Amino acid sequence: MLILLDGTDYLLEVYFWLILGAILLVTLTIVFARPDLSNIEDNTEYNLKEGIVNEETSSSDDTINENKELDEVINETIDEDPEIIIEKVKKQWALAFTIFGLAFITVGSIVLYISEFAFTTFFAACMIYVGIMSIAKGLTFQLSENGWLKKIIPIGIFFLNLILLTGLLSVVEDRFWLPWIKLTELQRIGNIFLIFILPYLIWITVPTFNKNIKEEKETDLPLNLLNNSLKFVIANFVILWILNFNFISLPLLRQFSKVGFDLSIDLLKITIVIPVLSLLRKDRLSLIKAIFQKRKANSKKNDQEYKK
Amino acid sequence: MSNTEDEKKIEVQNTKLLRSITIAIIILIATIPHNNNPYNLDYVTEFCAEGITTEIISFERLDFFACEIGFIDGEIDLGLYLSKMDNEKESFEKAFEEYTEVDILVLNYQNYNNFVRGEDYGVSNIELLSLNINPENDFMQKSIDSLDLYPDYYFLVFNWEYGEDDGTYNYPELEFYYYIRLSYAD
Repeated sequence: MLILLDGTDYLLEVYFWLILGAILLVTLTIVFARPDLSNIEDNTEYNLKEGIVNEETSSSDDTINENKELDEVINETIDEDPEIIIEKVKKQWALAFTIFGLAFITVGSIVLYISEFAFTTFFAACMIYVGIMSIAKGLTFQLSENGWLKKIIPIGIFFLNLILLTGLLSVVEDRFWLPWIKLTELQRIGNIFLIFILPYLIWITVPTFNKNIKEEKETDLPLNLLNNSLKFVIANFVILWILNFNFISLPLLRQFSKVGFDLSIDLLKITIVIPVLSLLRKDRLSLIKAIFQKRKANSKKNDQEYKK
Repeated sequence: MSNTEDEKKIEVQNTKLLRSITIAIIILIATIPHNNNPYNLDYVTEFCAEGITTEIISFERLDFFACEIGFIDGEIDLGLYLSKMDNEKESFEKAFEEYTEVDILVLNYQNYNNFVRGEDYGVSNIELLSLNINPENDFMQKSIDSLDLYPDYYFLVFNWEYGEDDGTYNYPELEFYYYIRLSYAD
């Protein structure tokens, strides 16, 4: 691809498509940031309760002041609503990542256009890579925590990363195009890191704003590890299964999904041990607890009998 | 939080954990390499042993052995080595009572799928076809220079009359040593 980028027309066309893509992503960010239309409709049900109105004296200045203070307190409470703060922070993060991404793409493209040295070409390609990933990351901030789109974004990031690494970064490209059996152990580890671990790191560095999800993740680590391993196995299996049909030929993707599948099975073997041990430990603790409670109850019963 | 709520939470967590463990165990059983079933068709084949270190493989007559080479793009030099294990002379003589041949195939992904399904398939290397192995041979070695392969994902297959089963004789599984040497031609 970088050979193609040497031509000015190609470079401008690539740059045009990148900017267009970035604008599209920003548009999508704004679309997803808008409140859900279904929530706009007022479906609140009102209950009518009968009441008695008594005649009273008009409120004094003191009462007006008290009401004003109360209004201020209410307003402050609304202002400090954590959900509103989270939304604001999310928007700031999304905007920051988008601007940062666009700046990187622009500078990278300029460097690519001006300089012809191997190092600057690679450096510029890296900048464009970081820029695109940054925009993709910025987009994820505006997605609903429990939405289906948020769940498939990791797969999208995996493919985006694979396309960018194989198409844009020529230095690592040579290593990617070799048969897996020809690679040294170190090269294999490097490829696994770039293809699987790097997009995962990009994904998890996006902070979680949902407190419940965050707490859940922290409290049930074995379950999360196992579930992530299962997702990894299933994602690789689905890719292999799709490629199994002869109508599509993506040999490089086949190579990496095969490696990913082997890796995910090994990972599953490890991650299944941790929850099994945790389950056994929990069972043992509850058993000990039950025994102690039974003993306590028995001793109480004996004491009562002795007193009688 | 009360004790009842705590217990309920733990119970829910344990149920989730048990469900995930069950799914994981099913997946692990389904992906045992030698447990052939429609779900693990070619997902559990291993990568070929490349270099000078030999690897033991076992397969029987009327069956095949396959390993994955990976993505190849261009002209390669290919060397293959296949030998019988010494302690199985008797079994070999029984299996090779009649003239037989082992086809060594380098198949791309599409052809490999067709081969496994028993459908018509094309071969990427006419030079490697119909290499014989019989009781008199202790080993078979073959080198091919400048084998031109178009960009695709390739498998190495030792085909020992796969799909020609007449159900008359149950052949024993035999062990072989093999290795593959692959390098891009200059």
